[in-house]
Amino acid sequence: MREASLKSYLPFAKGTFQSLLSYRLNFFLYVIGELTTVFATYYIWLAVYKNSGSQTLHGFSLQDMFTYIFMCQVALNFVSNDASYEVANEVREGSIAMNLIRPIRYRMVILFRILGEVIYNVCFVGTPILLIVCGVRYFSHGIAPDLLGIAGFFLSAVMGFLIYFYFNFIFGLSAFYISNVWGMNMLKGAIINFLSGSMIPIQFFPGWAQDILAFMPFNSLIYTPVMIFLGKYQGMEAVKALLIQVFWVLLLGISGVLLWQKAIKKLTIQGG
Amino acid sequence: MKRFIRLYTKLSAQYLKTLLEYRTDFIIGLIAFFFIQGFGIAFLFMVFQNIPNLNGWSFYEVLFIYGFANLPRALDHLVTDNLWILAGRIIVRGEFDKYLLRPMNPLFYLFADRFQPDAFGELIVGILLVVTALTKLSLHIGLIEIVGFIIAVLAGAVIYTSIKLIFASLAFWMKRSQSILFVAYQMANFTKYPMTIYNKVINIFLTFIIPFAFTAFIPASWLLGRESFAYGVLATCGVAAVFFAGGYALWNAGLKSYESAGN
Amino acid sequence: MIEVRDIIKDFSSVKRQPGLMGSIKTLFSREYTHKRAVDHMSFSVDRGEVVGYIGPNGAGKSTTIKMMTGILVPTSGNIQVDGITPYEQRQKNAMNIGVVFGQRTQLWWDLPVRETFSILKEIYNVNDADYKKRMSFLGEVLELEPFLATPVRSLSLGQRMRADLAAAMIHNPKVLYLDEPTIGLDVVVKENVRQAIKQLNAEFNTTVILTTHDLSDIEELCKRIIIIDNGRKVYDGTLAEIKSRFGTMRRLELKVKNPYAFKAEPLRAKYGLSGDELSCEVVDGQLNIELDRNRIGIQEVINEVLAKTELVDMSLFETKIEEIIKKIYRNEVNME
Repeated sequence: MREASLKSYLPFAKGTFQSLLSYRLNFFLYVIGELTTVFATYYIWLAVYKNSGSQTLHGFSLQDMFTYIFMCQVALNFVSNDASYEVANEVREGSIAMNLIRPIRYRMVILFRILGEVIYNVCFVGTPILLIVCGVRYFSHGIAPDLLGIAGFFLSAVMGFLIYFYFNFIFGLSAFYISNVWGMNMLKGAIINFLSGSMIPIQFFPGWAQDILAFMPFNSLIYTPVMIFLGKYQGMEAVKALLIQVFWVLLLGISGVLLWQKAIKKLTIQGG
Repeated sequence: MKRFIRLYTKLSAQYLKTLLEYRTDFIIGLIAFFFIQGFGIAFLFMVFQNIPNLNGWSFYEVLFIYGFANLPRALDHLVTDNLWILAGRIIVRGEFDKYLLRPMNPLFYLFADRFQPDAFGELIVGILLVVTALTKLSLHIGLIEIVGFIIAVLAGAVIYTSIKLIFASLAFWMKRSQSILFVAYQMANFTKYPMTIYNKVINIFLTFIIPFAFTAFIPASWLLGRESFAYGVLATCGVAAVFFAGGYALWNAGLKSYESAGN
Repeated sequence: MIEVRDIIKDFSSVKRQPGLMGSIKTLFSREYTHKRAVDHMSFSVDRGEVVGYIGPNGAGKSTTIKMMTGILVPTSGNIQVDGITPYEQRQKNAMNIGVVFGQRTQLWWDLPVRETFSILKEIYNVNDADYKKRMSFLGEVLELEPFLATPVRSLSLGQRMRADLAAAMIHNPKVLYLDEPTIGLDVVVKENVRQAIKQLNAEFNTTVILTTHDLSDIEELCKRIIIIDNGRKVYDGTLAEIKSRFGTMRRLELKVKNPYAFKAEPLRAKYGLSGDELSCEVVDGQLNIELDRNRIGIQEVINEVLAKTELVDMSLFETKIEEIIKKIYRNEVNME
């Protein structure tokens, strides 16, 4: 099979991007709906800091916390995708076999389709929130934007995207072996939402939970990029966190490829 | 009334049979639901590690409100889930025809045609939280409290249904209204915490405009001894009655404007 | 049984504007485009009649049926079905009617066919004795027995249609609306379904309103037809009348040396004929002549052709009812 160039995958990204454009109004309403949770959390933290009697909790000031919960939304825009759902659907309907007769890699097709969605989210939701966060920090609290931190955030968020993409790809392929991916998907979403630190910073978790999470990929999805943005990870610490992300990209990426090859074998022998 | 109950049971039983074909998905969904709820509680727990109380509300009081919020939500969720689908595709695809062709109230048929067993997860978690919180809080629970509690939960469910009905009915004119319904429904997120933590605008909005405050915080405050019976229970019933009347009127106006689907 | 009085139905849709600002504007703007789907329609149907309601796509057939069943509210005018205004007393009307939409099943998709009937029994409050009696009659006429235990989603189209018909009849409605009941069925199954409709009409004296694209349905089932086009009624009468008026039409297909040599006008002038009574066209080099046998002899026409050119081959047909009705749609014949 001749290797297709990157250019032949671009239409897939463009396709998702454009179809999302035509749902704009609905899309923004859903975004507003999702943000209600964030605003409720905002007020809870406001009350918590007022009641706690101290300026910082687990090293987070109130300003840090506000930045944290909103930047989690930005990072979520990079990370969230429904690759697992798409792959699982194709497995269940058997249409995945069609991809074997095309001169392109299935993994890349899915990656680019998702990329269209992610770029859309980042452009129209993530970046505006990021700008608002930076603006509020600068004008109300005199905190100048940390360009290195922003750059580190983007780099780390892209890693987070890759980790979750491969995670989802593997999850979707598991539809070859288990038939209830729909229910599992919901379960997965709930677990990741919590363990990635997007509800509450990992620092607030009990010590034992933090120790366990250190060996899992969830930190790398949301928590790492936001901590880099906040400047809580600096210098060697930031490099270490990025290297851990690279490790997870490689581990999950390689597992995904191996699993895909196994799935193809199953597909060609059993006919799906 | 007897006929309604019999029909409802019959139609729900049929839907249950359909669901049983996908039971594993259902069970995993339920487990997922417990996780979501568990994480919500874990969040509260971790928050309270840092503070003695939240604007004067103790951990178990907050837990009580949080648990109470689940109950009306669950009852509504159990019965009226089809409103989501109405707003999403039933009208735009012309599938609403069938609800107008039977000798039943179309709204009743719409509700009876589907129920959402996920709601049992909400219900169970809600009851567990409320009971746990109550045993820790050592409140006075007499007959009035029990009856008032049940009435408030039912009225709260009616408020949920009414708000959903209002926004779902918009689909008769807009063809689809699921995204607007979603925004409105998400507002309920604010009311599972003590609402004294929010500013005035949010409080007024959730009390008078989209009155989710009456589905959790206000009646729960009455049971916690912080609101009067009149406000906690009677006002809740009044709001339920007013909003249901409004929602049902809008629904009926919608039926007249229903255009079916062109061929 | 059914009285339709001067009904109009307008559909309005909000004008959509492009762009993000456009879609926000659309939300609030009240600029409508109107389309009239049914235009001053009136007719009445007696008890026990089987009426074919036909017209081209988008003529307003479904819209009329939906108003008669109470799904849609007319913009103006009035409908009475057995003394009830369907869109005002929807539930009362629903007790009196049965509806089958050929393209959309009324059955419970994931459940065995039998379950649908037991739900409908509850919905329509059918007592046990009547239920038993009707089930056995319907079961026999529609041959339901072999698939009563099969989930609806795994039925063939023909089986599904039979089950749908039975489901629409279980409460013995006074009026049965059938929207394309034979669509997508093969010839044998179509015939089955038609026989069943006939028997149901004969047994219960049910009034049947039938829309279809298949005119053989009409020929076999309906004494009376109503033809509509662009929301207006263009014909209301018996099929026999159409046949007797146009039954003497014949079609000559001629292979000739020069098909353009023959012209209809001189003959029309000579015998004082209208365009309906004699016409010709050339299709793929073949000369096709339509003529009314009562007004001009076939021999005269052939003589005229032979006088102009050399004949190679010829065939003679009766004009089909389809052709006539298509002409009525296209206003090529005058029904007045």
